[in-house]
Amino acid sequence: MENNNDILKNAIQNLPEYIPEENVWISIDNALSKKETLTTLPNYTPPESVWNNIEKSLSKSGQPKPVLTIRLKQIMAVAALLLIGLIVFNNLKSKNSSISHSEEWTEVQTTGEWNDNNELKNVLNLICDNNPSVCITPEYKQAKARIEQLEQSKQIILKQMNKYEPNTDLEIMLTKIELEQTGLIKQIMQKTL
Amino acid sequence: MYKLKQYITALLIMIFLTGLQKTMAQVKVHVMSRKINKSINWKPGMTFWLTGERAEIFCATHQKNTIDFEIEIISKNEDRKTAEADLDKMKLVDQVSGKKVSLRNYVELNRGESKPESDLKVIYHVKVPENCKVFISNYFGKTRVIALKSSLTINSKFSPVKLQNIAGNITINSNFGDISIDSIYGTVTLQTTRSDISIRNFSGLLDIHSDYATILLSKINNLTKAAIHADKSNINLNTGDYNRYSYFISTTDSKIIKPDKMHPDIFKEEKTKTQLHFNAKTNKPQITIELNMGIITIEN
Repeated sequence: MENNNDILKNAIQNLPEYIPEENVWISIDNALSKKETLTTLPNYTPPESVWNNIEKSLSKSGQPKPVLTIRLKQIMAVAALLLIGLIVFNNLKSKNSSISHSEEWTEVQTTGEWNDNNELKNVLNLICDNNPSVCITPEYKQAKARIEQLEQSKQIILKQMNKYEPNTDLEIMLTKIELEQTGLIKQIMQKTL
Repeated sequence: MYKLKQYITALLIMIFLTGLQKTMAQVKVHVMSRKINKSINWKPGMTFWLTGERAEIFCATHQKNTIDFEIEIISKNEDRKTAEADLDKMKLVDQVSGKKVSLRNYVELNRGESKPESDLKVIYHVKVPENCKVFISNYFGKTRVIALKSSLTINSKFSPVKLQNIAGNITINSNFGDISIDSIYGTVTLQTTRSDISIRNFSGLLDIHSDYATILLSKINNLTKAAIHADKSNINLNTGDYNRYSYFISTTDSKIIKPDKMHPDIFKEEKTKTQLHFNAKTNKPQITIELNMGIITIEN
């Protein structure tokens, strides 16, 4: 058993005592009286028809509806607001700017055949090789400069050619350039050969 | 020598023919387009400036005091994403600064962005008040102006220009872009290089400076005065009645073709230079032509 039983008893006896205040006893008394009142409340059993009605209404609505938590409701409200905002924004935007997409079949326009200016250089070189004195004449130099200037314009046009649309106007310009270049070479030939 | 000539001629024919050849293939193309509509209030004295690049410009007038424009930017590519991305690279800016309303499009590349691979085009449909002064610049596009009654200035490169029912002061500078003018009343100044010119139904003052052009004037019944300075060009005058006007023509290395019954007051030919005056001492409206290397044809 306890070795120090006497010491322990002595210590308990010497513990300080506290007396609760009056209002503590009053509140305990009130709580106890409420409990007693509840036990004395009358019991009611609902009639059979009430249970039948409840059963009917449950079978009509099928499974019970999921209960929405407050957070889910908030998320849905924010989403609805965003959706409305998006619709209003798109409507406002479409009045000034709208992007559309379509597809079409078209012929690819190639420009490679316009790009070959080697033939022209060959002709000029041929004239010079055959008659070197021609290449130092002012007429030749002037014509050559014009041919090169036209070639520059031609290259500018070629860079702007459409790939998926006809280039009628630009092709007319290119044809004119090539005709003029050819005419200049003919001029050189007539004067020099 | 004869063989060399034959060889060169054959080469020239080959060069020309290769230019006409084409190889075609059908592909499916994605067309992305963005439309923009806007209206800007206009007050007398305000001017409209449009700077287009790869732009088809249609400018007309209306009875409102607004400058209205509908713009469509089109991007075409076989790859939809590329077409979309390139569409965004074509920028459009409109601005009102004092009495100047300006509108322009341009390609803008952000850091690391590549040049557009798609076919890009901007179509402008602009309506301005009749008395609004209009300034248009276009590069690799088309310009058409109808029914303007104030002042029009066009700077055009590699872009054909068409004008119809215009009155007022018209100035066009064009490089590699044909000009077609129909029903004009006013003062017209054209400065062109390698641009063919066709003018019909003209009344007023005309001043043309052209290089490498075919100039065709037809149905010019009410010409007040015309001056044409041209180099390496062909000029064709179809006035309806050549006798309606007085002519002062001087040419170098050129040919003049005139009606047989037209008997000039002065017709001098010295080496490469020719001078022709007709109806010189009358008060008839003057047509002055200076031509270097070309042909002038005066029709009946």
